[in-house]
Amino acid sequence: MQFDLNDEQKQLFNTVQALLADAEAGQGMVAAFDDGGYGASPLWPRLRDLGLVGLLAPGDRGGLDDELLTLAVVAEALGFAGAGTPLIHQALAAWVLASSDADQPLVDAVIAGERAVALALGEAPDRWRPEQWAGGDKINVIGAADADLFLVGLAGGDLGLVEAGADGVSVAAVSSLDRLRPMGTLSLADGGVKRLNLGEGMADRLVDALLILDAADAFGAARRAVDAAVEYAKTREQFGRPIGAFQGLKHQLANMALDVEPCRAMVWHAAHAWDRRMADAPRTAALTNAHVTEVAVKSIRAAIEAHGGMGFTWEHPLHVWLKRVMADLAHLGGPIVQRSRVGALSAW
Amino acid sequence: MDLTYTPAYEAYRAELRAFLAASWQRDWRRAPDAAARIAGFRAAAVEQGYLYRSTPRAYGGSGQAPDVLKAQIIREEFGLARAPTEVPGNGVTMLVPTLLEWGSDEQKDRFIAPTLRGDYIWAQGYSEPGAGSDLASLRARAVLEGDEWVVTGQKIWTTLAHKAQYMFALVRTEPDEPRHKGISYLLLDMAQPGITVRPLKQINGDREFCEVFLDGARAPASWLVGEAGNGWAVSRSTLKHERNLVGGASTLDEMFDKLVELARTTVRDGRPALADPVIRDRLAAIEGYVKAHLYSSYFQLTKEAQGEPPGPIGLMNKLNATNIGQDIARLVTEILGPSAMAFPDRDARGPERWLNQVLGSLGLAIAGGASNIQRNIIAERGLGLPRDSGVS
Repeated sequence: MQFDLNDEQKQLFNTVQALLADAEAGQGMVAAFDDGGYGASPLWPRLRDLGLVGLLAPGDRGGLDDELLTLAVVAEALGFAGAGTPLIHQALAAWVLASSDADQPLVDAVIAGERAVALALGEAPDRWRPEQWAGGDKINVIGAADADLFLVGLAGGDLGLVEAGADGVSVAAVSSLDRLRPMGTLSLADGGVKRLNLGEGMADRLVDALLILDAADAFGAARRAVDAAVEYAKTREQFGRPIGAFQGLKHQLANMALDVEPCRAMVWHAAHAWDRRMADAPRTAALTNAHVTEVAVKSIRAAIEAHGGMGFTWEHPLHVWLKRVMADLAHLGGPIVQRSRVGALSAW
Repeated sequence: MDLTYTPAYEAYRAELRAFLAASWQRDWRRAPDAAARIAGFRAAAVEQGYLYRSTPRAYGGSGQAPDVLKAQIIREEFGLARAPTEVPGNGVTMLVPTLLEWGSDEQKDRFIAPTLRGDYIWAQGYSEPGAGSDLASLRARAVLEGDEWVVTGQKIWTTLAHKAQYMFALVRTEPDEPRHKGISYLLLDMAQPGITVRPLKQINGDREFCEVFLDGARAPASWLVGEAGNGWAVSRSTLKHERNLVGGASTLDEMFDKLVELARTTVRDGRPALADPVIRDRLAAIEGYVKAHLYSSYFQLTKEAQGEPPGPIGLMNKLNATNIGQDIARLVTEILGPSAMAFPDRDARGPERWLNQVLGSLGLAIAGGASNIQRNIIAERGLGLPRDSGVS
């Protein structure tokens, strides 16, 4: 009975967090946000060189055979730092391709980060899961502009692969709320996508993994915002004392921490259930995504309020985290959709 | 992460199961001699090392080495077998650990074993009409006259005082010392002319807590626990080993399942409440909090087993449980609809029995450190925010 990370996971978390903190000191959060980052982010080569892209991919294909829990720990660190990089989606793509009939040179290039893969899954207006995919434009494709390849959800629930430059493939940039993870809309001509030969249920596993990783990212971001609000309350003075001494604000901060802290164990459990293929893993993924992303948005809004006027400026970085978790929340449909799925997957 | 137990722990579980199968039957609780059967079972369970693990054998415990995983297995298996656990109440959870840490040999010999057997019910004499959240302002006064303490004052919200044989009380013995320094921890016999108990009727109709009037109540000088003036520190003793980190959270998880059953069996707006998308959404929203709390308890269990501090989450359990109980109460009230107009009856079998939870959940928000006190604790000890000026 060990409901905790193992030593390697703890160490990886510390390594990634230190790397990101170090990089963050060099470039202001807001400047990075204005630049748009992602594939061009200076963080990306450093994370890639840690070998993290192959984390989840099978060992006989050049991956590390590690757990989703490990990737979730990395996602939490990225959310905490507010770093926009392709790492998480690239790692999932590497896992899918390495689990498919894709050529080994392609798998190697994806794990090495030499060929960028974007995940093109959702469809307008409200089709998020494999059984709902009907073909047509793919919306909210994060990193579309940087991608060499797209991993595409196909009508019928399969996954396919298409080159960015192929005939009939076009990307329209979308002005994105979260500029650190900019999106595009992917248009595809019929028949241009090569269907991947995959094991049963891989597309479902992919979407469930994303739900959990979005929650992990949102948890990290929310933790950061609570930390920022607490620090501000200790240093900002009004009426001759730190505002954190006033019970009104103190209780708001306590409530924020009370909402956010329990999410850690919930995210870990969802990732672990996915890793062990527990029967209720899909339901747990939906429940966790809805709860954690909603709590994160609520808490970061409260953190901004606790900062007063400064919190409402573009200059102060809190809005970067707010926009990040709003994107985490909306990415795969949002809490209404996920809670409806929880109900559908229950004996309710 | 590994949510399974090692073979050594599974062997321990198997042994425990065999003991329970041989020593306890569920229907014994309804037997005419139920009390004797329960007492006999507890004695056997103590003998085997399953109950009162942190109390030495000399005082009626089973003197086991601390092991939070064994403690968790015991809770799980006793729960499955519906077997009697340790005697509930303040005596076992608060007084015994305090005596083990601070008590004289005489006090330990005299009080611990009968308390563990359930022979003594204890009242906790802490709160006063003028000393609630600000407990250190308490005024009940104890004066040493010869070889007896004589106590004058009033206690309130004293659970089960009308049934208790003894009270452990905080009283002021050094009135000239600063607030926390002048308090002592004193044991009192409830059956004496100087003590009058008046039960208070609660909003759910129960009479569990009381006012206690101390008018020249007497206690032997040797019944003061620890040193005079050190009662505040003495009263902070809690069970140091094998705290029940999971119990409350798994109880809420079970309550959530019952809430789903209530929604399934209640017709609202012409269909089962459970078929209503609004109700389903709200159930899933509550379940998010329930599961986050449950898994956090397993995380804390692991930290405890590893001897590591759990971090701020360790300060959040009571307020989390309170908030979840309040959320459940709100949804229950809406699901019940017109049934919520019936008055709760302890013996009711229908859905209106939920009103006990609806009303009772408010008590949890107040008892044992009100929710705003919990927020202070989280903010000050967990987040490191400055203490309120004027509060020390």
